[in-house]
Amino acid sequence: MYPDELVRTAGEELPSPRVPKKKKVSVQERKEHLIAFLFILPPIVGFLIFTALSVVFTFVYSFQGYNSLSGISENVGFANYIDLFTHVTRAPLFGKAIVNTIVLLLSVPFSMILGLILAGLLRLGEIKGSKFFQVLYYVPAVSSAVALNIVWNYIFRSNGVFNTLLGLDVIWLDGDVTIKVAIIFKNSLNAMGGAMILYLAGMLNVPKDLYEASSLDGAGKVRQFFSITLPLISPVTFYLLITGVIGGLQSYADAQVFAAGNTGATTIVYFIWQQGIQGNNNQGLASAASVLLAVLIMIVTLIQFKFSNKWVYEE
Amino acid sequence: MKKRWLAVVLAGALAGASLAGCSGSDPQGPIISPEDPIEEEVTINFWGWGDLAEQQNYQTLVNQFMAEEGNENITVIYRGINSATYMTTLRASARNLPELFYMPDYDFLEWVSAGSLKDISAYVEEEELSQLWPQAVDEYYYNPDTATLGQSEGAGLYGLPKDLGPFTLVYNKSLLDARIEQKGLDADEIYAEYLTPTQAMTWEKFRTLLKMLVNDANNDGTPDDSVYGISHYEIETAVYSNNANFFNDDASEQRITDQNFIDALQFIADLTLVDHVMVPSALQSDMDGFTRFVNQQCIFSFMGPWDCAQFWGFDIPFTYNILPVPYNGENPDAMSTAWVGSMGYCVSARANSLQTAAAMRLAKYLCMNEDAQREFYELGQQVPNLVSMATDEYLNDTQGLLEGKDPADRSVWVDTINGTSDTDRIGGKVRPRYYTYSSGWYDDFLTYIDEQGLWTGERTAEQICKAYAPSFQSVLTEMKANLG
Amino acid sequence: MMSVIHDTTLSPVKKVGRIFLRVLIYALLVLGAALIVFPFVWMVLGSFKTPLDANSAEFRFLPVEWVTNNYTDLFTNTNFPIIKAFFNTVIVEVSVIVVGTFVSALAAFSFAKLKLQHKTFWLLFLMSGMMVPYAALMLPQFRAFQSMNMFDTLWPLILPGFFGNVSMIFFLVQYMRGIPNAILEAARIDGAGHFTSFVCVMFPLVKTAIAAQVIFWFIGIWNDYFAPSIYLITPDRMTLQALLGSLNPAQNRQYLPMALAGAVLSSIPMFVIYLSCQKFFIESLAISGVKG
Repeated sequence: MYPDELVRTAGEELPSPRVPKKKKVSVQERKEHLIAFLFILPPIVGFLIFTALSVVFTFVYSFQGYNSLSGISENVGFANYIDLFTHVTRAPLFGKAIVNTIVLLLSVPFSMILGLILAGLLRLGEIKGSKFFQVLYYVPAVSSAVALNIVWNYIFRSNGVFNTLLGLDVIWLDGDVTIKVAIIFKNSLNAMGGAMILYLAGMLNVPKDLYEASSLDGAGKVRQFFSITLPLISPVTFYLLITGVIGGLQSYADAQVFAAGNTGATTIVYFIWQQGIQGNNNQGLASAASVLLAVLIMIVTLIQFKFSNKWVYEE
Repeated sequence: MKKRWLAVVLAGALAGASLAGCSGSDPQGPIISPEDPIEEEVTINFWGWGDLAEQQNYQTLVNQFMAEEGNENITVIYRGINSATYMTTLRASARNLPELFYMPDYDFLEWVSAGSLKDISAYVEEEELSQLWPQAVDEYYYNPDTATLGQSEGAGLYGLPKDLGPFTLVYNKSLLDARIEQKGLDADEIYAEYLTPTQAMTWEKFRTLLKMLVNDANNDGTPDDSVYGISHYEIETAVYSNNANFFNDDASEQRITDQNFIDALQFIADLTLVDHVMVPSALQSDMDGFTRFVNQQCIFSFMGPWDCAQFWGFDIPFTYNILPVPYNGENPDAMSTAWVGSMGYCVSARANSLQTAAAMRLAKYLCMNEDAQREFYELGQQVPNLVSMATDEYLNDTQGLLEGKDPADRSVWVDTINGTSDTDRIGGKVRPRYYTYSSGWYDDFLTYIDEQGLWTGERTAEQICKAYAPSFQSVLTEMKANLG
Repeated sequence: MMSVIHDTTLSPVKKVGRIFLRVLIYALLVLGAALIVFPFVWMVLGSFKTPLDANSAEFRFLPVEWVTNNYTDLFTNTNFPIIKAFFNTVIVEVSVIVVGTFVSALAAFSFAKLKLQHKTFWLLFLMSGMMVPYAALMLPQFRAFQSMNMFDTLWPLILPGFFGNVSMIFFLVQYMRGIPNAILEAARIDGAGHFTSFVCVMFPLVKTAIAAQVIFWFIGIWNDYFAPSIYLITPDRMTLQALLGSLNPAQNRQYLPMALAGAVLSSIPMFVIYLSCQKFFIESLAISGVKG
């Protein structure tokens, strides 16, 4: 659901035609205003503390140097931001984290393509056990990322089952490229079920008469897919892309559990954790990285709001 | 209006909470003499790390301590923490530290310079300290005025050593003997020539031995039976055993471009690249050295005294023994030098005098009480801290507590700590991270040389070290600046 | 319409082609299913191996010797107390969901059915939080919880949940708007206050919608790893995911089979819930995508 739509409709709730417009607000009504406000107060308080205030503090921390042992903070201006891009040891780590995070986002389009193919297969073959496959393919999405990462790490070891079954001799868990390939592979598999279900639902929503009309025009299945199905399910594509990218930008468990900190697979959030929590005593630097990450995600979200109606088909 | 007021209060609450603790005033009372019994009831928290067995051992000892005469009023709450998360826990609790806790040598400087540790000089007698390994005690001296480590005029003592652990070479004796037989070698000759506990091998000899032992018919670097010569090589050990170091004495100037340093790194790389006897670095992420050794997929590895507890616990199906680490025979100044790890029992700077007195009684009990030290070596946790116990009772097993337990040549550990006469040249040194403000640079260095392809032969140690030197120098300078 | 199978006017050649196509489709779907299932099979097999077997250089599909002590160790080893971890997880789940759901539903009721000033503003206000990544909130919260002595307790996981869940609020606002006002009016005429009409009238009417949201939330909390791994350090105080993470065999290979056993055990409750509510899962998911 899009927020403006929701807000518009919710805002128009309960018009009271009996009360003339310019009449003073009655005691009764004031009381209702107050009670209504009290009802929404807890989420608002929670938001103020755990989101608004925290964001402000992260922003403030990003301009500070902080010694977690002595508890002393000092203002350092933009030094943390500059360090992120120029410091001899930290800048390369951050740079790698950014590159890795972006490369690992490749699993988003891959899982979408796989999901689209699977949904197409289910539709095309009118498969009897369609529900069965849907339930099965979605299992990884409800499973714990830690559990899956532990077993995938085991699968991808150089003498592990992946290499053995495929007759390969690749060292997946080391090296800049192979470890990313391994993560993209497993993440594409894990996310394809969700994409499949959404695409399938999208396909079912396409009006049948559109296909019939184009059949009369002599369009083949392939052309129908590209000229009708794909454009009409573009909202699904868009939704998957945005949620996938936002989720992917916050990836942590792959770097921490699957790759155990291997620099070929560290992510931005892993970098933040490593600098701010794990023991580098570098909360200022970590805060600066957090601010940049938040800005990045905000931009992606705004793109969603801004362009959703231009890019996607809507009735 | 009401809402705004509330928001402000809540904002204040969170802000206040996050600032609280910056201004703690610690009640310091008069120093209680170490001789006097504790008259008042006092509770102290004590945090340590280790696996389950070690935690249980500590709980037992803590209970014994509380039952001892003079300690009736002390209650100790012991908490054992997984070693992987210990420092993160301690750091997160930095403003609410337990009264007594472990502090590994490589993080000591950062903590002591931040003022988190208490000067305990007044709580311990010179005579007591003289029973311990002098270099172990020396590690925990620090002078806050000059920001220098070690004993000096005006320095205070900020911890008692928990242990002193030399990390030496270990070999799987069962596997090695089988290999000697399979290859038709003369066992006596091999043992006399290479495997003498009192005489370290040179790098050349070590390479020769490994090449003799590994089965790699096609010489492609992958042993035919997946049994490598050695699991990995300790970088500090190779560097120290070539009379090199990462930096000068006060860690202000880098030394990684010295030829001896470069040679040491290249020696390690060549074990894989040239000799095909060491596990390639890419496979290290599959299995760490310790696991590989336990699983008999290598003949040599490295171990410290604390590993005994695990080895004995696993009940592993082979015998093993230790050796002094190899050194560069071509360098006349080089001698066999293993790194020697240590941990301190440190007292929180915020502990009051009563808590400090109680904590120090416990620290001294664990550090230098004979029964406690005996129990620790029997459990396979350490070489005794008490010099007299280590060099006789432990070495010769006069109490018969170590009968039939590997490694047979415990003398290697004692010699590594103690140093031996000039002729056989065995010794040990604390790790370089001890001398620097923070320890993250070491991991950064490892990551760099790995990425630059030292282990795969893409670049030589010389190219890599020379390229990294300016960055490393600026990191050292930055750490010096942190010390103020 | 993509119906190709039941077209009766097809020539025999085309029919054979269709059958072949169908077989091919099934084959592909089964292959995909095998890829999905395999990690779980591998997880179970590995959990019955000894550390030596699982780490062996030689590849073996089945355990050389089937051992169960990876499971029994999880119940006896005090460093990896899985039962305690289970109860810790349940404590977080129950407290967050009971309080958080009530708070969320109450707020949704206010947004949907009561006269509230600046309704649009407040909704947008709450929604803006959804685009802030947790990583950008983590450090100040970490420091705050630390100074309140809540580090290494369950509080940092529980407290934020007490204030409700924004996505649940939005979902329920939509749902409650579909409830006719007349029902509430009737209650009001009977003299019920707003709170009473929420508890006695609205809540029973939206029970199923709430249950749906609760299940999603439940699974989210169950599988949550980042925050628990930051705040929880002592094994006795960890949630299941934090405990699993602390067993990470990428760091200590000896733990591999035990970690796999832990992964199996901690997944079982999820599977039970998922399979018993599968229809609802798939439907809710499909709706979320189609509606955007």
